[in-house]
Parts: sequence; structure tokens; C-alpha cells
Amino acid sequence: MNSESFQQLDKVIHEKSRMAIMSMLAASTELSFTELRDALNMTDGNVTTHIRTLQKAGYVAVSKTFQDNRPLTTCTLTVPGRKAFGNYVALLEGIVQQSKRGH
Amino acid sequence: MSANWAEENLQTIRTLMERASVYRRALAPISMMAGGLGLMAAGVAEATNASAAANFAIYWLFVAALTSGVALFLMRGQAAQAGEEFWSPPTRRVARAMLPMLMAGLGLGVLEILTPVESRESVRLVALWMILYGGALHAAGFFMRRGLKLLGCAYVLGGLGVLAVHLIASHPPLDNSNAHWLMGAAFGLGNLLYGFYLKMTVQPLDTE
Repeated sequence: MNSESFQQLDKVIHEKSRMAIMSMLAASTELSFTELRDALNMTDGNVTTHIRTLQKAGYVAVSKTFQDNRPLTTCTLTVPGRKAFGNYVALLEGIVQQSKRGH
Repeated sequence: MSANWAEENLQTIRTLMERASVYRRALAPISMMAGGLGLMAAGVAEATNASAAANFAIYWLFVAALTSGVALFLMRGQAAQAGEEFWSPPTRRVARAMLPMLMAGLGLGVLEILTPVESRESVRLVALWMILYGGALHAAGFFMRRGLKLLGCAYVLGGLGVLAVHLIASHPPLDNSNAHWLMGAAFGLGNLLYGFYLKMTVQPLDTE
């Protein structure tokens, strides 16, 4: 992999946990905080930290509602978030293709 | 950094995206309950000698409502046991996917009730319900695993078969007097067998 491609990778998404959160959100219209936490086997604190980073980058929107008198936090990908994730995946695919052509 | 690393990341992304879109409630107990209730309802209708054409639609709409209520109760129990919220986004997706076909089935049932008794055709209604139920299962299958789309297709084909025989045959083998048993076989036995299939082929992930 050349360093130019690596430099182009979005540093916000290019972290194991955040990439996992973005992947799950990309596949569904919305996911609750607990679903993300349980599916990715992460702690509450970890999910909160990474969601906050993604939120600051404008990639994830968080909404808080109530269900059965219990707070429900749901996360969705924003339009820029979906675009950034698409670019990230396209770049990874490009790297794989480039390597296959090289062999 | 290597291309292998990029490929591994892409694989992780694919796996996670698939997991996020899958509905994770166990279907086997729900399917077996629906099948058992369907067969029991057919037996009760036959035993009480209920006139098929007169009360058919209203009777089976009641059975469908009861089955849906028990299914929701079971799903709620499963969600509580897993410590997850009941009306989760995957549950909403499945419900939204199934709703149009199920509402169409309800509409057909209501139309049948509003039709004069002498013009009612219970076998035709069963066939149409099978087609719509198959469509609902097929739509839900996009968010579940374990052959639900195939089961949906089987219902659609079965419904079309029943409808074809009913409309084309000069002496249709099924009439209003067999309609309750047809419902029992289609929805009772069909769901029961699918439930057993899920139970016997359980997978490590709780997606059966």
C-alpha cells in the first residue's frame, strides 16, 4: 500500500471501534446505543467516547427519547457521515484492487 | 500497512453491516406457537360445525389477531430476557416490511365480511391470504436469515396453486366446507413445520 492512499484515509473513521460503529450504522437507518454496545461488545464509556468523536466530526446524529418511561438513545449516520464512510470503503477497495493488479 | 490489511478491514465492515441489518429474535418458538394455534383453530371450527362461508373471515381474523398478540408477547419476553428494548430499530424494520401485505390481508378479510353470504368464497380468500402472507414473509426475509424468503415464496406459490385449481377446475376439489382445514394446513401446519425446521437446525447466533 502506498503512503499516499494511507494519507487519504479518514482519520476519524480509521480507528477499529469507530469503523465498527460506522459500519453498523451504515447498514441500518438507526441503531440504539445498547444495540451498538452489545453487538460490538464495548463498554458504555467506550461507545460514548467514540460516538462523541463521530458526532463532533458531523458523521453521526444522536437523538434521545423515552420508551416505556426509560431513556432511549438512538444513533444515525448523517449525510456527510454516509458520504465519508462510502469514500473510506472505496479507498480500501482501491487499495485491494491496486494490490491485485500489482501481482 | 498492506493490501491484506485493507481486505481484512473490508471483510470486517461487511460482517458488521450484515449483523446490523439482521433481526435477532428467535423465530422457532413464535413459528411453532402460530402453527399450533392455527391447527387448533381449524380443529375447533370443524368440531363446532361452524358454517365456513358465514363466519369464516371474521373467525380467522380473530385467530390472526390472537396469534399476533401472543407472538408480540413472546417477542417482548425474548427482548426482556436479552436486556434489549422490545421496539428496537430491527423490530421496526421487520414490522414496516410486513405491514403493507398484512394490512392488505386484513382489508380482504373485511371485504369478505361485507360481501353477501351467498357470494362468499372462503377457498379463494385462503388462497389470497396465502399469497399476501408469503409476500409479507418474503419482505421480512430481507432482515432475517434462515430461509424466511424461501418460505415466503412457498406460500405465494401455494396460494397461486390453490387459486388456480379453484378457478380453473370444473369441479374444484376444495369448497367452503373444506376451508377451515385448508387454513389449518396452510397456516397451522406450514408454520409448525417451519418452526421445527428452525429448531432442528439451530445456529450459534440467535437468529433462528
